[in-house]
Amino acid sequence: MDLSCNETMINDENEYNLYVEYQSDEKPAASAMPQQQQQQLSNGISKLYFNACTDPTFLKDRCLKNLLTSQKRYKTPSCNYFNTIQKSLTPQMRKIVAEWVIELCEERECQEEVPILAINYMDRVLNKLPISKNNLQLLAATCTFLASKLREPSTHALMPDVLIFYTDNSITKRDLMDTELLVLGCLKWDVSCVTPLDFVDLIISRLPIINNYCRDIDPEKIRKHAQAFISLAVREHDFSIYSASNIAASSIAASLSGLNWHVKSRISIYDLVDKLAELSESDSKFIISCMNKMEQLFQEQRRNLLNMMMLAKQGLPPTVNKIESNMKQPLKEQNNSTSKQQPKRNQEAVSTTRKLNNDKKKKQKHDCEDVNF
Amino acid sequence: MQKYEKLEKIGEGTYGTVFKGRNRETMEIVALKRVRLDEDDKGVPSSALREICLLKELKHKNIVRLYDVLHSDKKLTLVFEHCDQDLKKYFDSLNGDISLDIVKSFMYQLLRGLAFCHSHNVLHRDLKPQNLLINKNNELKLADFGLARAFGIPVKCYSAEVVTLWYRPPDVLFGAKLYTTSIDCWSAGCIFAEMANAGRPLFPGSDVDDQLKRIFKLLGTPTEDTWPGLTQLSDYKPFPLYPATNNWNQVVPRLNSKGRDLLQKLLVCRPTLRLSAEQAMAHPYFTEN
Repeated sequence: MDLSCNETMINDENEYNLYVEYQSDEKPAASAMPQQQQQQLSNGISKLYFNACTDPTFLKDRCLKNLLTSQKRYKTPSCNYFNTIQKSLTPQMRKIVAEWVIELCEERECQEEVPILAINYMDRVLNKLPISKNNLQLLAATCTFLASKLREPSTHALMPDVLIFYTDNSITKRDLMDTELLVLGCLKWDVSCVTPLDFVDLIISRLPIINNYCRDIDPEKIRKHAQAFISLAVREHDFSIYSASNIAASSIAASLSGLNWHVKSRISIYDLVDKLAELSESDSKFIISCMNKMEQLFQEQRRNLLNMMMLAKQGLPPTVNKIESNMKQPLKEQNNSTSKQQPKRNQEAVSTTRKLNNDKKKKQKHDCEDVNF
Repeated sequence: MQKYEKLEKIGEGTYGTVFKGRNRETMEIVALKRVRLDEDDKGVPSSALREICLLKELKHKNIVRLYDVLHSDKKLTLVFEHCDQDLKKYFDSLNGDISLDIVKSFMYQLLRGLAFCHSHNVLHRDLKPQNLLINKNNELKLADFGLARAFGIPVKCYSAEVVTLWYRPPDVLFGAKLYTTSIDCWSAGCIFAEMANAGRPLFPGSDVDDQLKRIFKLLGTPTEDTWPGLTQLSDYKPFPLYPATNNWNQVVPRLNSKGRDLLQKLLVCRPTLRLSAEQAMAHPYFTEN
């Protein structure tokens, strides 16, 4: 196992390249590719191999097949639970809470899948149980608590006190423990979910990314950027219509496009879509629509960021509203450049909380039931 | 809890007491694992959480079945299929003699259960004879998934949670940063040798240094040539350059040459060269008469 490579995987400093290299105006190159490449596109696993840092057992076809089968089990509800089950919640509230979860996980340096799992649990609970506006953050905190406990080693898991701090002390330990059992019962303990992240390596390793024109593209970079697109997507409820593998496939397409792969390799992204659809067992139309939505979100983020930077240049403090909408972005640039402002970000998370809790009522006690399966 | 009648205590698991139990309707004997939910700290223990959600997904004849989870305010009861004993106790009952057919059958079942876990992206991470259950029909089942986890993306490794020392591979002993399926394959190799020797552990090290020394004395000390990247491992330190042993028939005297070949292919220091569970199942050792 090449461990030097593993190190890079953990501390990738090139992360923010996505935002530098991305050129929105570029249309994917017209597809006029030599026959040889066309052949390459159609033939199974590409020559691209990982620098031995990925476990070969895990890249087996059987693993991909099993993941595709089990993702159905954890599918977040595609139906819109707003206005049906959730009378008092709006998509905007869900987004605020999702961003709170992501932000908190970023600050506590959780593993990447923790916020994604937490939001998956939250959506699945929201699809089953009516939750009042006042309990939404408690639900989100509990889901984060569970996801962290499942995926972090016990010494690194988020402790109840930390979560309570991030809710600005609006919940108690007792609330967290009670809700934990309620959530587990509601999810029938199915918490080891398949997320889009699980598919990323499996799909990238099967794509004909390397060709005669394009030999030096770094799969690790493709992966990191795909991950950033996934993180953008989980904030928005609209993405719940897509399967995990679909989101992964679209994030890879968006990542390749952002890295100008289509220009270097002379293959149009759209020529890759059928292959992506096949691998992710989803429809090409969905791959494209999901990818477009991701790119659109990314553009919005970028605009917001540019606005912020302009205001900063002019020496004007951004308005409170702007901070609210801008600071919650996943952009690593922000993280890197504002590492000294950590306490401020901290307050930011807490202030989101205040907004969520200003008219908090006493919560109901939930009875625990036995779950059989 | 009316559904199950609690019978005698079987033992202490990693995170709770295990009782024998009986389903009042079907009279089926089950194992009941009781987990206390202490108010003070962390809610449902992470090991119970992992075990429940992973076992719900892993339904296979070589993996212990979880039938039910019952929860009440203060405790959680996991209802498992009951097995008569674990491999450790099975060894103790042998008096130093084991049938080679049983060794082969157990090893195959162990690999089959493991290959199933790995193809479902689950690492067991704590294989040892105590965690392998044996029932009356000599069926072997992987149990105790309290340290196991799903690995969609690379699993970062922290020293706090790793396999029991004797079954821990050299890469993990040297502080490897990521877990891979090869960690379980090493443990399977150690258990294979232990079975062939009717329960005598292969590398019963007393601490990390002693563990590595025992491994290298048998397999030869790896170098940057035989294992590129070795010296960059975070806890790497040089060891005397022991040569690899060539008398494997003294290490596992009862195992035939094919069995020894399989063992040597599982016990490879460099993790990427170690046989996977699926490859090991296809080894000629299992197809000979």
